[in-house]
Order: sequence, then C-alpha cells, then structure tokens
Amino acid sequence: MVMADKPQYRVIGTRPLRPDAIDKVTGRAQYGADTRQSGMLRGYVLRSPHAHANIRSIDTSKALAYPGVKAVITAADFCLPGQTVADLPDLTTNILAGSKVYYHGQAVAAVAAISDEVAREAARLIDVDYEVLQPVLDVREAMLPGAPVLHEAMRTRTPEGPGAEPSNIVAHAVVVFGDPEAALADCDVVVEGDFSTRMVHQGYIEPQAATAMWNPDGQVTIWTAHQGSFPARQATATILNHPSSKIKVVLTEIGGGFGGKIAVYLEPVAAMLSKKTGHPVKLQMDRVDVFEGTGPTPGTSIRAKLGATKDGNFKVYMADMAYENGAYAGTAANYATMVATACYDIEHVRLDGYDVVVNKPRTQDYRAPSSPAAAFAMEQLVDQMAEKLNMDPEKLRLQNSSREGTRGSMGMPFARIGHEEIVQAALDSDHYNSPLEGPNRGRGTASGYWFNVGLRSSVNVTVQPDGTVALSVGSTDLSGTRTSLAMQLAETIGVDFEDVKAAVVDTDSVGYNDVTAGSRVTFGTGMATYEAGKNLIAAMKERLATTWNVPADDIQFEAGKFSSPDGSKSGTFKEIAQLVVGRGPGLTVSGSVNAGFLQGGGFAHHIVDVEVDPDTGKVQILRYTAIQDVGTAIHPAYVEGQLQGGAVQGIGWALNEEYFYDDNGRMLNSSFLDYRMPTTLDVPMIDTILVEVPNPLHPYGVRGVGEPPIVPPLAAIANAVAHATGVRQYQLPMSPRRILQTTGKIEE
Amino acid sequence: MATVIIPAVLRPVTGGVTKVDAAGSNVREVIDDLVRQYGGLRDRVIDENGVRPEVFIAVSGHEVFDLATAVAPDAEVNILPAIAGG
Repeated sequence: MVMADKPQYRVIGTRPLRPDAIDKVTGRAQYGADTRQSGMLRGYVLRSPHAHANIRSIDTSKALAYPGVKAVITAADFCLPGQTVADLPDLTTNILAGSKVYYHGQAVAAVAAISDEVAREAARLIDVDYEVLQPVLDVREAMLPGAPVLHEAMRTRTPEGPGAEPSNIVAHAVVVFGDPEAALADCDVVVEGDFSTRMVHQGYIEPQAATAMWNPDGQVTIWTAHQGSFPARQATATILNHPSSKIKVVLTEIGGGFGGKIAVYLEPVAAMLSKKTGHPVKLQMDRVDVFEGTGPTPGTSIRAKLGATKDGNFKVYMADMAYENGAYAGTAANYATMVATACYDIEHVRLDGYDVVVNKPRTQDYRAPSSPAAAFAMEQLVDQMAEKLNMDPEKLRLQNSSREGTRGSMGMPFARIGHEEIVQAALDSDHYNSPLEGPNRGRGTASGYWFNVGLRSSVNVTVQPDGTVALSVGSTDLSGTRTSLAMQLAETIGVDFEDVKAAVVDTDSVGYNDVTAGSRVTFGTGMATYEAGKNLIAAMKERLATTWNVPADDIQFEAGKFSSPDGSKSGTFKEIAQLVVGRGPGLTVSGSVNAGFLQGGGFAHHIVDVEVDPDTGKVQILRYTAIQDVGTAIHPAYVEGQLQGGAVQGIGWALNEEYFYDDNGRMLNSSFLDYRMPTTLDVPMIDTILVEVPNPLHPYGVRGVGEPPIVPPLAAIANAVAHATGVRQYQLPMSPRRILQTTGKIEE
Repeated sequence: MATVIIPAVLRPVTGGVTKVDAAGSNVREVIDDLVRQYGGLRDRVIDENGVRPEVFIAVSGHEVFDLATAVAPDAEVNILPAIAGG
C-alpha cells in the first residue's frame, strides 16, 4: 500500500540482488571466528559455576605452568595502580568478575595458549575459591525486603531521592499524565491483568568472536563481529585504560545481533591477552557461552489496567512494570515507560517502572527492547476491552489510535505517523476478511511501537576513474544496509545501483558512527549518505566549472545529468566523472550527520490465526500477516524480510522460549536442543503488507523497520489462543505445558 | 517562560517534578536556568562542551542541535534520553 504523497524514484523501491549474497551462500564470507593472524594464539574464558558468590581468591599458578600456556589473566590485570578488583566498574567486571560473581556463566579468568585444547585444559587448573551465596531469580521476589542483595552499595533511585537501604531495585521511574486515579473511577468499563514474560535470548546464529593484536608501540587492532565498531572501540579503550585513537576495530561479517552484540565481552580480554603474550589472540564463544554469558532480554512482571467509556473511548491506562536488569543496573523498565501507551491517545496515564537486578546475565537490548512485554499487557487489555464492549478490536484500536499531534508516553507530540493506516490496512486485508472456521481455532491481533532513532553517522564516497563510486560505511551491516545505503546514494547522484560499490570499513577509515541498532542505519547513515551525495555533486560542479568555463553555481544537475547554463554541454554523472576524475586528481567526499533521537516512530500491526490442540496443548500457527508503516521501502524484499524475521522471533518468544533455571540459579537449557526456537517447520509463510507513510524527517521518507515487528506477536498470539480456548493467557511462554495448565488439563 | 518537560529517568533529580518553568530566549539560556533550579541536572544534561551526547533536546516538538536556537516564551522544551534499540 503506497500513500498518495510518495514521490516516484528510479532506484529506491527496486529489488536488486544483494552484493554480499554469493559470498554468504557459498561460505566465503568472513565472520568473526574466521579471523586468522600469523602467530595467533587461542584463548579460553573460564566461567562461574555459581549464580551468586563472593570470590575469595583465584590461584592461576597451575594453569600458567601448563605446557603451551602463554598467559592467564583475571580482573586484577585491569586494575590501575592502587586499585583493587572491588573498585572496578560494572563494565569491566561483566567481562571478568571482580570480587563477586552475579550470574551462572559470568567470566572469571582467561587463558591464552598455543591451541584451543591447551587453553581449555589449563583453564580447568585455575583454582577459584568461592563463597557461595543465595541467588534471587524472580523479579518480584528480588524487590521484596529481605531478598538476597546483589550490590550492597545499590540504593533505589526514586522521584523522592535515593532509598536508605541496600536494594535490588535500581530505580523507580514514574510517568503521570492527567489524573488517572480520578479518571478510573469515572470509567464505564475497566479491564485488568497480571502479566509476566520470561527472559529470552536474541538467538543470533553466530556466537561472539574477537581477535586482538597489541603491538609493542601500543597500537591495538581488534577484529570482531560487533554491532558498532566505534562503540566497541570506546568500551574497550575504557576497560583497558588505553587511548581509543590507538585502537582500530575491524568489523567482520556478522551473523545476527538484534541488540545482543552491542556490549563488549571478548574484545578487551583478547587485547589484554595479546598485550601479555605479544601475539594475536583469538577468543570465540560456543552456544553455551552465548546463552549463559551474554545479554538476553529481561523477564518482566506487569500489572495493568485499562479504563474506557461505554462508547469505547480509552480514558485511563495504569501499569506497574517490573523488568529484570540481570546482574547489573540497567534501564529496561524506564524504556517501557516511554513506549507502553504509544499506540493510543489516552489522556490519563500512570506508569511505574521498576528496574531490578537479579542473579541472571546482564540483560541487553533485543529488537525494540522493553516494548514487546509492555505490548503483551496493553494489547491483551485492548482485546479484553473489545470483548466487554462487544466491539471489533480493530475498530476499537482505530477509534483510539495515536496520530500526528498525539502526545506519546514521553509527552512529545508525534509527527506524521502511520498507526491508523496500518490498522485500517488490517481491516481491509484478505486475512482479516477471511473467516476462520473449525474447532479450537482463534484469531488474534495486536499493535506495537518503537521510536527508531537517528544518532551519528559518517560515510565516505570516492569517485573511481571509470565513473563508478565506492561508498565506505562505518556502520555494521546487520541486515543488508550496504545495499540500502548504496541505493540511496545511487538515487541521489543519479547512477545505476550497479555503479555503487559499498563496503564496511574500519574505525581509522571513516568518521564516527554510532551503534547499528534502533533501526537507525538505513535512516541515519542513509542521511549521511544523502549528504555525501549532495557534497559529491557540488564537488563535481566545482571541477566542471573549470572544464566548461562557467560558474559552478550555474551548472544544473537534474535526473542524473549535469548541464551547462545554456544547455550546450551536458553529460551523465558517469560521463562527467570520467572527465573530471578519470583525467584529473582523485575525488573523495564525506557526509556526516547527527540524525538525532527522534526518527518519527515505527508502528506494526499483526494478525494471527492459531489452532490449539486440546490434548497436547500445542499451539499451531495457521496463518500470519505482519503489517507495518515502513515509511519508504528502499529495498522492499529486505523490508519484508525484517517483518518476517521479527514475527518469527516473536512467535518463539510467545510459544516456547525461556531461560530455565534450577533453584541454585544454574541455567538448564543452554543449547538450541533445549532452548526451543522456531524452525521453518513451526511457522507458515509470514505474509506482509507494507504501508508507506513517508517520514518527513528523512529526505527519502525512510523509517526504521527492524524493531517494530517483534512487538505485536506476543499479544497477538495470546489473543488468538484466548479466542481459541476461552482462557486468557497471562504468562509466557504459552508452551504446551502452560496451555494444559491454564485450560485445566493438568495441575499448575 | 518556557516549560521544560523532565523525563522519568531524570525525575529523581527534580524530586518527581515533571514540568519546570525556565527562563531564556534560546536553548542555552533555558537549560542554564533549569540547571540553576536543579543543580543535580547539571551533570545529567550538559557537560563542559554543551548538551551531553546521550541527551537530545526538542523545542515545540522539533529536535534541535544548536543551543542558540530561539525558544518562544510559551514553548515546550523536551529533554530526551537517547536510547537506540536492538
């Protein structure tokens, strides 16, 4: 669906073959673990078997004496003079524990040796003396007085000031609009629920891997599959207390991230091992390391109420939202307060967000972080409200939809957004208008939101003597952004897509780029690319002015063609480039932007049909449609892939995935055999409907598309299951066991 | 005076206050007046070089990057904590 105000483009909106496709499908692409350097050693990280323990001492002498071992390090190697491990910041102790371990799988020590096998053998000889402590694993239990305290120095940040006693509650954020208590009393209908979701992992296919070489002159090179070379450089520099300008980060291809590869884990450790040994050192995780030692997304507990008039006008939303931060302080619940009510125009709101530490891995972002759980509560209440009012849930959503000018959870009025358009597209869709027949079947719908952000980006564009151009990008290419950026450059300078060759380059070769996250690269780095394109046209005009002997300002550039003021001389970009660069000095320009925080917002809406087996509790997805306001789809096939991928990850989160712990806080399902992610056998074709409401904040109307599609599935599937079984689902995952419990087939 | 909307993450610094009236004809002056009223915001919003990199400012719904941007007397100024996503 294309809105009437979308311009016609020449390259944008086409579907060229991605230039990295052949390397990736033939195995030639080089990922993190493929890095090989002359004289390279292998490293291994020893991890904690306990979820909560004091470290009394670490004896590395036996490991160091093991034949083939070149170095063993602990957190003590990161201390400055006069500092102890107890003084180290969270950033450092999360990569090698200081005086305490806070989760099962936390890194404790690392070995560099002549082979992986030797490093593993030697690591077993490291003697760590633990004083085991009681863990706390449940977010609500961690909030109770008397719960085991992870950080003695932690005091809850509240609007009234810091708390007096040590607490696991990092912060209590409060958002209030209007007079929610009074308005609730005036509502004709109120629905409420006590919802919970479990910690889940992003499940990227490539485990973390990093290689580092510390030269004797202090220059450090790191090869890594990371979501941001510049943020990785800065974090590594901070941990190592080494100038960031002396660290070069070289990005390899990356096998997925979804927010899970924003933090550093291995990079500083590999660098320190290299410093100690004088050799390059490679570290790579296995799947167990990834599950236990990296950052999944929080489990949550949300108690929420929605109040409306008998005509279906939403008046009040109140939610008490507790989010696991894992072992260290975070801001997940604060994020939730910023997105929870974004889809609807609600006058009276109270949101209480509690960020809480528990003895689980430090959580990280995962596609639209915090928003899926918030929507799991809100969108089920919307569905319940529709039931109570005997209204079509889509029409109820449309009636209450946010639109341009509506103030979101942050109090800011939205610019042009497309939530109404996507709900209307659902109402008009073949899926929604096709009857769902048969027993044990149900249909569910839900909406979702993510801000999307712009942040800082830089690119370089070099004109080649043959008139083609090279685009050097500093943003990690997670999802085909080399192509989406090359297409924007081709559109801007009027050349064919095939005449733009895009590559991701290292931190010494391009200006600063923020992390590849928040669906920002096609938007923010796209703006930098557009700027570079404009700068390139201006530079070409300057050169052409000398050749044509006319003022540069009088030279026209339209539809990919330069022409002199009187029209007597003209040429395509490629022809002119061959003239002014092919026969002149080289030409490189850059484009740099701060695209800011506000990207315009992205909304998604999903429809799902399920069938629930009453005997086994298995939920089968019968049909699924993902609808989204995508602004302008630069490469529609990539955009459709983002919608499909987000939906499938949401299906896994809804139905099967969870971190499963024993009472001692040890994860019991840290493999893909036991941690059940969906496969192609579990899901049907995910149909997509792209709604294009161009974003006024981007020259080509781009909106980020990667985050929003994971937001609606949890609630949409829960609504579908509720309609299929007659039983509302308040807890994830809706596994067969859970379905049988809630439908009374087996005991809780 | 402009009205500055304090985001939830900074309300512990303002004692829970969500809106603060601040005087000034441009963003710099408004922020200076805000920080005069709530000294604890100084390190959270600005540093010696201006607005901190993890903070964004919007005036009447439009994000601004230049501290010299004019602020009308009835303008609403939002302080936005930068978060990205996955």
